[in-house]
Amino acid sequence: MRLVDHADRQDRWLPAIMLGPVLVCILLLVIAPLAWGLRISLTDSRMIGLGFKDGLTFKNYLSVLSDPDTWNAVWVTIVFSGGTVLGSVLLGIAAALVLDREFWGRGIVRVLVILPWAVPHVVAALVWQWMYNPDFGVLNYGLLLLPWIDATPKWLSDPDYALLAIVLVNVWKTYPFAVLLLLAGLQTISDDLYEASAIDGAGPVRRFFDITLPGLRRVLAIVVLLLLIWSFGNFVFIFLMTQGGPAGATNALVVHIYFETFRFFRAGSAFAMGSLLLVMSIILTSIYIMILRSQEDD
Amino acid sequence: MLPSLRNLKAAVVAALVTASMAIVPASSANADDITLRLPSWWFGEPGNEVWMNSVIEAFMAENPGIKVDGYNLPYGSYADQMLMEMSSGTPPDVIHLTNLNMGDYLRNDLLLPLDEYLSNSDISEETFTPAQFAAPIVTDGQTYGVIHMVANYIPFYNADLLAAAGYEEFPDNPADFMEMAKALSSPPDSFGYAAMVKPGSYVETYMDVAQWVIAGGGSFARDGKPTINDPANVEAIADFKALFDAGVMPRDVDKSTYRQMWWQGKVAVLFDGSWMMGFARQENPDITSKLQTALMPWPGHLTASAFQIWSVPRGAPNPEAAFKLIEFMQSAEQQVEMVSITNTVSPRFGSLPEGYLDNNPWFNSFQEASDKYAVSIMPEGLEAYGNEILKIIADKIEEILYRDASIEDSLNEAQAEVEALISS
Repeated sequence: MRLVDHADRQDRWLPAIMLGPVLVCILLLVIAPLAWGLRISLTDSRMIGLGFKDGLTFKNYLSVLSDPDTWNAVWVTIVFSGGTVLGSVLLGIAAALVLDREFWGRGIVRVLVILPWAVPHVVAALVWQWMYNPDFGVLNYGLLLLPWIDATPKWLSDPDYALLAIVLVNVWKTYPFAVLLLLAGLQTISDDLYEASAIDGAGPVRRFFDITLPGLRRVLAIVVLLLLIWSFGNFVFIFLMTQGGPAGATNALVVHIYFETFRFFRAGSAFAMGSLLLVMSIILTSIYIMILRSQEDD
Repeated sequence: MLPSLRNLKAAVVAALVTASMAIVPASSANADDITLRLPSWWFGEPGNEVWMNSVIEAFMAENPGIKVDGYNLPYGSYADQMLMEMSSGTPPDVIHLTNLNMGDYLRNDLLLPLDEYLSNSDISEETFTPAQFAAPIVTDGQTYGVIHMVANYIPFYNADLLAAAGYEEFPDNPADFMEMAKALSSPPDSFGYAAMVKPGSYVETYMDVAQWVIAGGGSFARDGKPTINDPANVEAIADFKALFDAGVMPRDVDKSTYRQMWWQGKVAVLFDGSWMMGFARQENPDITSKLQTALMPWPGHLTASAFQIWSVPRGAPNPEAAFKLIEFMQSAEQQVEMVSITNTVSPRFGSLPEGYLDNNPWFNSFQEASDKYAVSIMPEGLEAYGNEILKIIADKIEEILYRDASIEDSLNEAQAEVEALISS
């Protein structure tokens, strides 16, 4: 009896003890800062203080939502994230399909494909910045070698090209992640399906759309959502390469928030913008969780 | 087999005890010693770091109970770090500001008035530059800093490159200067002039364009009222854009890169400060004999001036000792050393070392500009709005340079935005 009582007590308390430290960390490092940030967003606070002395107001949200710069930042964020996802997924699928085949040197090619993922963001930003330089960069030098090109864009100092240039860098950095997951996804598609479809006379294009893509559906959903979430918060490339310029062409929401906080000392409106970004991220995360749950149900 | 509950409890208690020991502060060797914290980007700049280290050493030798922990904090991340430290209640003892961002700190009441300490010092209108007694350093009748260095931006040029293109003298009017800059340009091998036209660097872009505006007799504000769309400003920015469109300036390079290009002989002219000679001496001594200076090539030679300032943050642990350090650094003897080592202009009168101008004839233009032609680079009377105004103006300049926006329309929009800002 005593042994049973002892085991019962352990069953009741052990999970709480094991989970306790993690819950405390989540409370201190996630919930509390979120709540504190929300409070700051409802005050006139200029500094990143505790905000307990400031009265509450919705002025920041009204100001942020009526500011054209905010909507420009939202638009830039959407284009940057969407472009990153589209480019990474397309390139990722193509690379995964190639790497799924047997060929000589496949191991080396796999390493080269994954390499951008291993390069630190800061290093990548500085190197690409120089590659894009209109006077000294290797990119324009290479383009001018082509016979049909006699003028090259100014890339990072051209408002029409700057965002595209940064999206390309982000695609270069993130497509290896897509390759890894999609390659793993391809392994789960049975070869029998391809053999059967080949017997039925389906060509490669038909097999891709009828077998490969449906088979990668869930992996693709996860890749798309993770890349979207990460791109929303991507600060390093934009800040290091253009700081939101030229003329606001690359001024994504995270960069805009940075300037509001650290340059203009407007913590209240910066946190209001942060809340906006948080809402966008929560919506995406919710979709991600729903997909994960549907996977578990299946 | 699961660990017993008793063992688990013991493990948790042991962990808590260990963790609590980690937060017990270590006792210092001597409880009476003060350690002053002084972050500055000067510790990371050639020439300037030599003076900083020597003045700190001299101060500590004279003040045995005070240690100074001076360390490099690059200019690019300085404001971020200071904001975080001040927000968390752990500011350094001495903070390094400029007249471009001092207003932001004042608006947020982050700086300690120093009048109580200044009254016992020799810093006065007889010994210091007039800017020490004007906004933003003096705001609402109180003094919030001590000018540490005066930065005048004048032409610093490679005389050999000019001579090779047929220019024995530096031009004395803007049209000739622009023609010369074009003649000296052969991108990507050489450029006639360099300025901060890299997108997104709004403070530096503002500073470089403001040099043209001020030299041309324009101003972004007068007596606290914005004059951004002043016709003189339009003309100056039109000239700047013409040079930009002519491909005279290296594009998409930051200031440290084009300065490097200058002391490597790839850029003929910069409008920059006297410290550049110190940089050139350290990085490429062979070029220093070719470097000369001139006054701004506009009638009146008006010269944009910025100031670097030592201040004491509110909540600084040792304000009295902090001011003692500032006072020492700005003393007559140390200022002579500073000029000698860093080649910068001191705010204290009579700080030129003996024979300095004979040995450094290029410095004459800086001294003359400082004495006769200096105009604050910040919009007059609007220093309190600091970075916000600079961003508004720089954003419009980027639209002018990169989107070919109308100069008049862009400056009108900037005027309206600044008026709305200061009235809000």
